[in-house]
Amino acid sequence: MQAQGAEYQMHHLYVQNHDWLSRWLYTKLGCCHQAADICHDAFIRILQKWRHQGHFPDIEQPKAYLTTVAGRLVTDHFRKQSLEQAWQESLASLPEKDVPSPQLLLQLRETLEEVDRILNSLPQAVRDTFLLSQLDGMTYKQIAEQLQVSERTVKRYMAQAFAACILLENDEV
Amino acid sequence: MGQAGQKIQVSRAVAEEAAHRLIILGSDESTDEYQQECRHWCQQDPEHEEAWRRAINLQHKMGLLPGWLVKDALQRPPVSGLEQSGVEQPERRHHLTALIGLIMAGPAAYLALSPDARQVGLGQWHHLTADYHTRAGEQQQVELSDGSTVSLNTSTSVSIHYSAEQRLIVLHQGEIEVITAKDIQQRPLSVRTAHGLMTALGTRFMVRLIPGEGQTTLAVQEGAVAVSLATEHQSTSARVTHAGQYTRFDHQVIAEPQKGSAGLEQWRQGMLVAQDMPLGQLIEELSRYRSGWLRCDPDVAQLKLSGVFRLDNTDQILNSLSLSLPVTVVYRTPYWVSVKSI
Repeated sequence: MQAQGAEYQMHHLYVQNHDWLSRWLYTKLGCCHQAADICHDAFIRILQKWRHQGHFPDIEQPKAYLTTVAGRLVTDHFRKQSLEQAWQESLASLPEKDVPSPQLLLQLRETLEEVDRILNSLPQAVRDTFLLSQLDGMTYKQIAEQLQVSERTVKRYMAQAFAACILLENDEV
Repeated sequence: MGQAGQKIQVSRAVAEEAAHRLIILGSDESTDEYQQECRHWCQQDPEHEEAWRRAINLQHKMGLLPGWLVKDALQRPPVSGLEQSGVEQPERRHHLTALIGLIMAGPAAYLALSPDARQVGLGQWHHLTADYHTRAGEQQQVELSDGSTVSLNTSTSVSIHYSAEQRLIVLHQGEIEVITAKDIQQRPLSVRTAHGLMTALGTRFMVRLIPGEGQTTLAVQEGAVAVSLATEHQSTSARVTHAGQYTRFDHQVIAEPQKGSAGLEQWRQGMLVAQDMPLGQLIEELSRYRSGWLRCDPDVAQLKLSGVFRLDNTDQILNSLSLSLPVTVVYRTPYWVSVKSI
């Protein structure tokens, strides 16, 4: 392991870029705490990539690289926030006797977050089609009728959704 | 096998091919032959299998979510990434200072303290959420970060989700044995299937979920396990199964626990004990241990047989059938086997 060299590179990257990245994130988020969190997470991503690849990532243009990584985190942050809000609204609308147990809620919340992250990469029409199929168990024909599109379009959307979710796992870390 | 560091990359072409096949399987064009062909396609190449696994994994996850409850959240309109949020979460600030000190210590040391690592307990971060699968005829023992072990029987698929609050094993299909270790963080350990949630109150139990059986079977060897149904909203009505008992449950009903183990522990000893078992049931059981196609003609499926079979050599079991029953075993290929009447 060329650990020492990599550690130095990481340290250098952090010291050189932390301040401007925090400020940039502040302009996106309007909250210095969140900006600090996401800035922190961006560097964590690089640490994870380092760990994952076994060598320090080859970063030619740190500024562009960090902006991309942090930009994705900002988008993801808003996604999580809107999911949480929608989820809380769903729960609030339930009669008290129907509210799941805390343990079940916790598990649902985790699975929901995973599924949402994957579905979020899909265009709205594809996502709606996929939900009707996988969540409601509707046949392609029923979906076609409900959405007033051809069955061929439904199948095309479904294929697009499956392919996208398969490819999404390639890019993680 | 889903472990960090050796992840198989899937090309666009393979992803599209897998997606195309899944669409046909989900339509009325699907036939037994086509299913078989898809299984074969998966076995051809690890990349094919990986693509398939990812898609099936998503399907499993979606299957675990109650549609009526999560639909609105998943269907909400998209948000732009550049909106203002206004919600403050100051509680995580201290991580920043932690990071500065730890950079010098290298990633391994960092991981021992990071929020991610906290989720896995002992810093084995590839267990953060990991999937394990066995193919036909394979068994695998997985040691988890808290010292618990999960053993997978043939054709079994599980996901492990360890977080700060819980230790969760999701059984998608197949059979597992779980031996729990005491958790220093005292998180509950549970196994979830499509039918419900089993929370360990003790140490050793086995779970079986086979498509077509329509239910989950649980046998407890040591300690006790509380079962609550997936459709139940309150865990108060959980039913406890004690050591030396087994129970079965589906979406609606948890059966009264019975004495015995419903044969669930047999695979750990590498054997299958049949007592007046219909041939059709035995063949179905064996088919989980073999790649390819193994079927039994309906006119012999009701023949009964008894015996102790070793699961490590299913060919031998098949060959022995014709000695005790009026049947013949036809091998069209090693992967295409049928049992017929003489």
